[in-house]
Amino acid sequence: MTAQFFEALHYDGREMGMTTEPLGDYFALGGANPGLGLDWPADCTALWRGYIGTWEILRGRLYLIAINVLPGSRVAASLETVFPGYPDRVFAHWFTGTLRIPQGKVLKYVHMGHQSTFERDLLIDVERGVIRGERVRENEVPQDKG
Amino acid sequence: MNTVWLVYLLCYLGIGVVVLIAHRAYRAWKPQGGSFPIFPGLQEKPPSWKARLFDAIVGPIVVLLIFVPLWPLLLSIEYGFPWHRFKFWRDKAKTDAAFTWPESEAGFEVTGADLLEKLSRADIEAAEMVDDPLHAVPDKPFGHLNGVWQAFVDGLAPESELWSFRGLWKTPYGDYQMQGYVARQGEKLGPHFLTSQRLRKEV
Repeated sequence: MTAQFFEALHYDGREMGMTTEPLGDYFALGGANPGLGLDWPADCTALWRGYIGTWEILRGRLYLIAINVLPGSRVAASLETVFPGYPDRVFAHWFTGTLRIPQGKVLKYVHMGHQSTFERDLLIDVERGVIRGERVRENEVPQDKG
Repeated sequence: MNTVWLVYLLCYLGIGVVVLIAHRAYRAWKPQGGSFPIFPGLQEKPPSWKARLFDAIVGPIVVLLIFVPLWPLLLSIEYGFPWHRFKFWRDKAKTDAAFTWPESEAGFEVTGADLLEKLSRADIEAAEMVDDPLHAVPDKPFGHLNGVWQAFVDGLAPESELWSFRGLWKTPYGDYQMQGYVARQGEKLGPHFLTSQRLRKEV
């Protein structure tokens, strides 16, 4: 499995990459999926989920502000198609968990999912879409298992 | 090759050149959506002279040589002609179907030990109202998941009780804490509605 594209997060005036995929939770909870990530073969092996979500933290809440698919994707999806009537912004009230935002240099590259290790991770705790706190985790080069 | 076929070929290639120029102009006028970093920590280096040479000369020549002979095919791919509809191996029903977990992962079941509290539908719906100052959510119980909730309660037997639950789901990918509401008839537990699925321990 190839390393996967990050989600995009607008936070504190910056655009960052995020490994957490809150829209996956929405689909897992039963939210209608127009077919994202269900095609085989995938349009791109670095994007098995079939989309890149753009998120924003605004006034202490997590919002989904765009869904992008690759050019020529078999599934035409956007914010409007997944959340009819909400073409600009969707409050991610379904998401409870920790957003992981890798920062700094890559300490160890892993050609799978979001498993590469970076110098540090910004971790943002979210409860039902509301930001509860954040912290920074300093990482070390992981030891190979063996 | 006789002259007529040569004329056809030149027309075809000429159209390809025109289409390529039009496509480049269109892309310059309306760029694709933003690019997203795989690794935001990596610093971009200034391009080397080889990269600049490639971008300025070699790249356009390669594009010209590939695009012009194959322009109908490449244009159809670029603009999303639905070739996949013609692939015999595709299962359209699978794409059209609502998302479901693969059978191997559909293993979560609520047990009696997971039950927390018996609640009425009105209590649940009052507690699960979602509001947002930016009005980015429907003013209904469970917000964007209201349709899923409606389908859940519409499918319940009249004598069903509703209970909140919190349980653990062990999967090959990690342990998830699952929360939601489950239907109960006597001692028998029925379908459930999930409100949260949180990864607790990654494998």
